[in-house]
Amino acid sequence: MRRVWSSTETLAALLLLLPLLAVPWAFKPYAANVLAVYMIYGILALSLTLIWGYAGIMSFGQTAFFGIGAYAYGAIGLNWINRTQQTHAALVGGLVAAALLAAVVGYFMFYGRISDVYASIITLALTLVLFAFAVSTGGDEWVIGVARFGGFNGMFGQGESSQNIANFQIPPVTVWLPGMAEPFQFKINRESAAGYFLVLGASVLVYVVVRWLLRVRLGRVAIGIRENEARVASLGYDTRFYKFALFTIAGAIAGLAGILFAAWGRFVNPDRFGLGFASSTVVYVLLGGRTSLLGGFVGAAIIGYLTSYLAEIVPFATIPGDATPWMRFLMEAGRRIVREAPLLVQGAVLVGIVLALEDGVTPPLSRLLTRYRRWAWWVLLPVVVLYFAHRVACLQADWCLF
Amino acid sequence: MPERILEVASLTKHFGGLRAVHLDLTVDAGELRCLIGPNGAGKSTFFRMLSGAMRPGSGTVRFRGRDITGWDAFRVARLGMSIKFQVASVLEELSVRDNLHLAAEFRFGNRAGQRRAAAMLEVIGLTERADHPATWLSHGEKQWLEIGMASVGEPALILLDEPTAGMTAEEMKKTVRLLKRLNEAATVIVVEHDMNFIRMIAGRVTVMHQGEVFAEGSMEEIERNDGVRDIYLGKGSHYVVRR
Amino acid sequence: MSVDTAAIVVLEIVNSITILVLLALGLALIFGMMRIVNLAQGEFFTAGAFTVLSAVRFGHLPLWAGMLLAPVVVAGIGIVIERLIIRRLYGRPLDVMLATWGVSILLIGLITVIFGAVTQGIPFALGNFQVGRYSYPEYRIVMTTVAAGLMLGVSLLFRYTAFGRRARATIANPEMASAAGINTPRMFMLTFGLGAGLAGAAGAIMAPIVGVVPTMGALYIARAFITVVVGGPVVLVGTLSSASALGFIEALISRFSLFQIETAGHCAPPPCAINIGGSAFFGQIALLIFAILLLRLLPQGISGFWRQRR
Ligand SMILES: Nc1ncnc2c1ncn2[C@@H]1O[C@H](COP(=O)(O)OP(=O)(O)OP(=O)(O)O)[C@@H](O)[C@H]1O
Ligand SMILES: [Mg+2]
Repeated sequence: MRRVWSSTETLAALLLLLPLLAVPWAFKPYAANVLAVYMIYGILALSLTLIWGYAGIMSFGQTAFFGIGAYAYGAIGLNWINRTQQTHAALVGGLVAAALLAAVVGYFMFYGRISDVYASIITLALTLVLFAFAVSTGGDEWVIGVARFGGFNGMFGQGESSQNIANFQIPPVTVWLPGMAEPFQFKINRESAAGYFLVLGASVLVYVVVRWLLRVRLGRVAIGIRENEARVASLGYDTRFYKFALFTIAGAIAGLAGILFAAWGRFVNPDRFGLGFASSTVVYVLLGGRTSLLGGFVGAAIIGYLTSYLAEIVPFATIPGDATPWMRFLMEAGRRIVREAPLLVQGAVLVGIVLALEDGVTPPLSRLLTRYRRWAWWVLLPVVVLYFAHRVACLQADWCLF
Repeated sequence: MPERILEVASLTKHFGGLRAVHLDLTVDAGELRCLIGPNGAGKSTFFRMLSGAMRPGSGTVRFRGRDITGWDAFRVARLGMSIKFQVASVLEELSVRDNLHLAAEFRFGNRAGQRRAAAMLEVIGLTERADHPATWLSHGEKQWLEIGMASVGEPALILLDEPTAGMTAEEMKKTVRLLKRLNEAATVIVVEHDMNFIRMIAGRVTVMHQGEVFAEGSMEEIERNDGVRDIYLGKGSHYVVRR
Repeated sequence: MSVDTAAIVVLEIVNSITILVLLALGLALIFGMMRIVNLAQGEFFTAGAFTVLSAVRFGHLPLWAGMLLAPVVVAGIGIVIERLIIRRLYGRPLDVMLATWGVSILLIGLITVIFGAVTQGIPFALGNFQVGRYSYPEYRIVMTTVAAGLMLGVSLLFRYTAFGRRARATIANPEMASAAGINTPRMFMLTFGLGAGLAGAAGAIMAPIVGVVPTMGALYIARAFITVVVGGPVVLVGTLSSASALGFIEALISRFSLFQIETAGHCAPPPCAINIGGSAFFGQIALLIFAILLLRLLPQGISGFWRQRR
């Protein structure tokens, strides 16, 4: 526990960060865009790792805080962007909204001393009820200022005058600090990778903060609670408070992920509260490794890549007209199997990892890295650096070796 | 007259139809009290109620002059009572040092807590294993760690539930020395089954039976008491082994 | 409030309670008896509805036959899942939750693969009856009757049959029970199957009044869980009391608008206002809030509270 920053960790940080920093120049903007969303989901997963992996509180509802953060950012951002040209208030508002919801729910759960299993169920119910809520806000009356909730279609802004209704999207993160000539927008497109770096920066920041939290008293007590709550209480710690505090912090982190998501896609819809997203989050953590702070990011990237890969496969694209009904049924089923594959994979991962009592992929990876530290420093790292340097040179200056 | 550190008045706990505890007891500050009684006498249940880990059915507990009946465990601990549970409940995945640090930190803060933890490692003789996860410790070592955790916060009263269970004779002697040392600074109540141990401790002894105080006195008095021998041997009592 | 309005409100409360009982009974049984949370319960419900759909559409069976078939089929699915997965995880409650969640996702995927993702309806032939100025679906009365019958059946099963006695012994103390010659793994398996079958029955009964779609379980699972959590550890008493309390709140809030919030939207006939209360989802939100408040007071649920008092 007390182990301070080790050389393996420096190595892992370099292996991850150097390529990530080079991505906007090494690949097309699409790559940065996709990686940004993996990192956003990674931050969400990290919030779950924090309370589940470390404090032992399983929350199925981190998506509730994610969604609230996204919707709050959207609502405030839509209303203020045209007046103030920045989204400072929206950023703060999104964080506060998520933390507040987590605090209220956490207060009732932990100070009410309901059992851990009940707490998990409450979090699940929370996100599902919010889903039902968000879905039913399709009507014209569901507005906050110019922001329309939009039900299934998601949140958008609606112009002021009723003769000439113009729709507009949630703004990207926009800052306009004193001393700046004009507002700066964090976008991800052909011209700019600022939005990507914002997400990357946020990921690193959250990682560092969580790592620090786990080293101070809050984190140590949290781990103690996971091990044996009654024991920790008998040492003089108000375990309710620690759980409450940690849950609130995790809620705020999930909210931050939600904010980044809404700003990244300039869009948020009820699916962010849905069962599918809630289970994805758990799968990210489980697959990546719930005892590793990087696990969530790794899990999100694996599942995300797999999903987008599967989305491109369409088997039996054309079914011949003379196929027998049975053949037709089987072919359609085959198509559906591929279409539902992400879901099936997630379900299989959950069941499989739980049954096999496995630790996810990150802990074994980091063990390998520790074991072959030397090789990694002198071979793997240079290879990675050279590869990315070559990609950048090739894409930016056409200096391609192959 | 010495200060009464603990006063328990008709403290009662029922489990279904079974009255597990129903007892009055007072302990003076500075005592090293032994609590004995056959299996199922209610000793652990009594401890759990004292320390706030379990809510009492009725009755009152006064500790250091304050009524702490029904308090939460952490408040009782902050008032200066600490407990070593019967089943070893060290925090398995934390290192030995972190276990002690956590136990010291709430009173002394981070830095001082670290120093106290290091000092306690010496006292319980686990310095060499300081950075091992507590899971790796042997049974006896876990018991010592627990005793260390219970005493590192400098409590006024330490409750120890079967601290020598599963120890060798040599280890037990070491534990006796440890207890006597702890007793210099704190009142100690210790639950034990081993009569040798009780004799070595040589404190006042309270015998519990079917949830009540059955007898109280010095070890010699207790050993002369026929009733006590009966309840341990099962003669003329309704005691049934419940394990 | 006129008499017919009052009568309708009462009927709606009864209907809410009925639905909660139907949703929660199997879950409560599994939770109360086996101390595990089955997150796949929603998909057992879905499977029940799809069994009816297939029986009617492909098997050309009458509706009632499909409804009788559903609990059997779903109980079978439940037993298979217990044998394959849950059996390995006893004593690890959190892992059971995760694994059953995985099962739930797998089942959604499988049902979608087989039936497609479209919403399908099951036609049925019961009408409405008049309550003063209002008309009310007859089918809801059928549902209430069935729910009451299921509760009664479960209660009789556990109280008066050999299976019930053995199951209760197993639940009270598995080691003692197996020492007394009871095949405890089998008891767990059958209890789980029974709980699954009850969810299947609920899905079958509700199939005609809801859209049948692979993801339908998610719509109901939240309420089912809240009901079980609020009900606490005693299966029947807990389910009935919490379904009553929550159903009451849900029905009232769904029916009556509490107040309105004017908004600045562009409504077709202005003005724009949000009605707080008076729609189904506000009923659900009220149900969740009420449940959380209730749990703050009674962390063990209603029946846990009474048991502690005794
Ligand atoms: N949580 C519980 N629920 C039901 N009965 C309990 C519970 N805890 C203890 N009991 C019962 O209360 C009685 C007293 O138990 P307790 O553990 O206090 O005895 P003890 O004196 O510590 O015994 P031992 O010497 O074996 O540790 C026993 O009959 C036990 O079975
Ligand atoms: Mg004991």
